[in-house]
Amino acid sequence: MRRFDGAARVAVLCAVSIGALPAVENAQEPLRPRGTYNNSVHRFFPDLDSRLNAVRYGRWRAVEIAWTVGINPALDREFSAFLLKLLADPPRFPPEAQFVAPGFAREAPTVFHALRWGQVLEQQVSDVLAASDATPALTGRRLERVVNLYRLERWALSEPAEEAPPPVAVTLAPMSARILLSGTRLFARAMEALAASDFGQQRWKVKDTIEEFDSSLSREKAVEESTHRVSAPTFVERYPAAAAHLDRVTRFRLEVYGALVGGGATPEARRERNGRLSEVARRFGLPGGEIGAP
Amino acid sequence: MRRNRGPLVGGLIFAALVFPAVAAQAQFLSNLEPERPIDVEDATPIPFRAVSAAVDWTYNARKGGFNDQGPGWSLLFGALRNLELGAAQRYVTRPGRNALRGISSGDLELHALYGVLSETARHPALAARVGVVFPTGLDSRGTDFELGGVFTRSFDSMRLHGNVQWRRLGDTGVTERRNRIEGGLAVDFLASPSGRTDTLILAGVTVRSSLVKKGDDIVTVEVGARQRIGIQTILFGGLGSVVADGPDRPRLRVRLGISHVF
Repeated sequence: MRRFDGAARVAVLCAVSIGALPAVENAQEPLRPRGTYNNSVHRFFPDLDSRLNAVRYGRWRAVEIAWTVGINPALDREFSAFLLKLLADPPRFPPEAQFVAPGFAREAPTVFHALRWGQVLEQQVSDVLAASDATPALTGRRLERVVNLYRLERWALSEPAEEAPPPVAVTLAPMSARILLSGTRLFARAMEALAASDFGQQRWKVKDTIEEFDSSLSREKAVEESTHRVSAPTFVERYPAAAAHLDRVTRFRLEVYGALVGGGATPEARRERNGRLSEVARRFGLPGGEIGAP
Repeated sequence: MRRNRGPLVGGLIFAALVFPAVAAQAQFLSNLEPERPIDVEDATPIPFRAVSAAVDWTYNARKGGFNDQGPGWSLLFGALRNLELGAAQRYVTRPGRNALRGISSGDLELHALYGVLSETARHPALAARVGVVFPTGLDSRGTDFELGGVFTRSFDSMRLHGNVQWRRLGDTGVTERRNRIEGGLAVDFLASPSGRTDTLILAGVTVRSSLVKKGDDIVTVEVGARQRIGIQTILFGGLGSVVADGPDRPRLRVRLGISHVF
């Protein structure tokens, strides 16, 4: 029997060499930062978590549809019916985005990762607020760390230099937009309920938030209502940095939908769509290349 | 014949078990690893900072009787971006008989999977795999070396995976091959028609060169499923059959296990 023969030595050498190679251009997203607060919303507020999961599914599905066929009134009815069905039986677990939006993940990786990383921030912030050991001081420290770790990543969004015009996607697909905006407002209202009360009171405030969401799903809402600035004033006052980053992710998502309005049915439409999406990516400080098939 | 490597193996297992203490949390239905539940894996390493632990039980109903069964465990760690380090070990009953088939009982396998390219519109995801199998098991001989490549291409919500691997055996008899080649292809897709990402169905086929110089190639077909049962926990199960090999090949292989991402 041989022990640690030449082959084993070569294997160890190869493993070390591969590990020492620089990260590839399409670097992998890391796992979300660790913390004892992770999964608090799932654990303590399952009804809220399942609705948030439904909204996450809806957002990714909307991006995938818009990426391939665009946003138009004909698809609005079909997609809004899908969203309402999803909300009637909301999923227990969050979606794996690359399965829900595979084409978008493959062909627009920069924007896909930025949206995914924004979703990670959203989950982390709500988990910090819902933690059973949360106190204002501890929550403040945790959120500061969460936001700093978000900003360190290459997929983090920067503040654009100028405001964008109102997104046309909202008017082209009004029914779907209303539901998705209600969903984004649910995130903001949930942050408010979790931030404005202690662990004992959170249960009732979250229950009220869910009831209000269920009863007002299809109500006409202004885009501003989906921002934390309008729907979560206490959260904004206590944790302004986290609120600013979350609102930026919301604006980015709206602009992405706006850029995908034309879809990619023809080569010309694809070229225009890719150009618009690259422009949105650059506005938010992301690299604009690597979008669309050759 | 077997050298006592108790302290080395003990140390490695201890080190592997300590890793989860510093791990983060997530879940990854789509992250395939070998034998979880089918042999083919995907080209995406486990994310940086993640630790995944899995255990399973596998039962082989063999043609001609002499069935065997046993547990297996594996640990994966996202050591760097695009770099996964892993360890795995499997035990089977009838180790002496299985050793003659080239199936070890208790060998420790260490590997590194490096994501060379992420998938884009232009190319599939590509990964390189390097592994070492230490003869820590019963009736095992020689340290084996593995070198392979993995690709994954998605087509809407279906994915195609391909694995190719060369294995250099450290110690062989006169009738045994020193180099073995294996390749596998698999597809996976979501079970839910509404697109929920809780259940993944997999099917694959692998072809391995025989351990014996003039033996037939070993062809295995497998189907399996991965079901998310907790926010970080996945239950997996699979059925397989070796359709070409010697007379005592497994007619049916049943595998059931659980994996948890920390």
